[in-house]
Amino acid sequence: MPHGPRIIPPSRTGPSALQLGIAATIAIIVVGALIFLGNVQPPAPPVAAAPGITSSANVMGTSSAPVTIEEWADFQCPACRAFATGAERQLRTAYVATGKVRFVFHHLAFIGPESTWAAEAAECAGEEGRFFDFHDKLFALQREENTGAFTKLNLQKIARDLGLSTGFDVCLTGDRFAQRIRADTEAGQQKGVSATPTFFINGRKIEGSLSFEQLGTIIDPLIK
Amino acid sequence: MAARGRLTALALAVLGSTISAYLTWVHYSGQLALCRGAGGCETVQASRYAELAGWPVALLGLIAFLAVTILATLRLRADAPPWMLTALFGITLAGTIFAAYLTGLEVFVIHAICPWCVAVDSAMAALFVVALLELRATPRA
Repeated sequence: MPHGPRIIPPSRTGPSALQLGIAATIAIIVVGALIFLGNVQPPAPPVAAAPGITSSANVMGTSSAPVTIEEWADFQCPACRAFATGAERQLRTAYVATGKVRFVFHHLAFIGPESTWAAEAAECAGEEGRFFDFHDKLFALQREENTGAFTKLNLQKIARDLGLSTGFDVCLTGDRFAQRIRADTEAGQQKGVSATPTFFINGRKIEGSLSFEQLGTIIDPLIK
Repeated sequence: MAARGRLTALALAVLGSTISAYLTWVHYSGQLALCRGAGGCETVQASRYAELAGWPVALLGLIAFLAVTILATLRLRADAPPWMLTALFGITLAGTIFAAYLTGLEVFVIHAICPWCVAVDSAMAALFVVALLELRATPRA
């Protein structure tokens, strides 16, 4: 019998039914745990206004600031929420409160009726000097688009939680700012804003949510 | 036949790893974090379901696909032990159930479909089918 190279025979038997059952059980438990953990995430913590910030309606910071950041956003846009609950908080403390940046919020309410109502409500809160408090609350409470998070009834509830007056309800139900929101949205579109958030930093257009670090690299050279 | 199945598994695993790596990069860089009306990847990536308990879903997918890629590579050897097929079956079963859950979220909750996500979900489901076919072709111990 000739001596050729020794070949390891391939394994002829596969895993047993018991092994496969254990693997399937582990797989189901792991996925179940992942889905469960994903659904018990704590809601975003409430936003505390940074000290030293002066705001007038949808403008925050001093008019003599060397840098002006204009944001065009929709309260139902998840990327806008990411910016509002992330980089914007640090921006307020590090740049707005220190007089380096003036921040202006514009409405591009394009996602649906709840976007328009939320924008109107923020403007109504602005009449009482609470635009950004309402802005923060809206982004903290943002849910899936047009699924009832920002109905007028819910917006009134938010106003009560913030301690706004009954004038807010009159303002919102009377659509006092409906025309203003439409005009803001149209003005944004005329400026070439087609997605949210879009920023104009001293006139330079930037699309998409920015991290605080990205903002810093743009802002710092402008401050000198 | 068996060799072709193993090569198919490796190809699918490499494809899934590549797309998952891209989606993980998108998540951390925030490059596509834009809202454009009709939704899509940006909406899905920016939704609260893009992370599970602080872990980006894209990263979880990348870890699973890399594990499958390692297994699929080791299983190219004819004498690969049977536990590797068991592991492949378990990981791809978990991945397929999770992919079905995420696709359900896209359709019914987020109301936006992300084509890249559909591609990785399909790759995972195909890997599960390949594992099942191989199990069927292998006699039980």
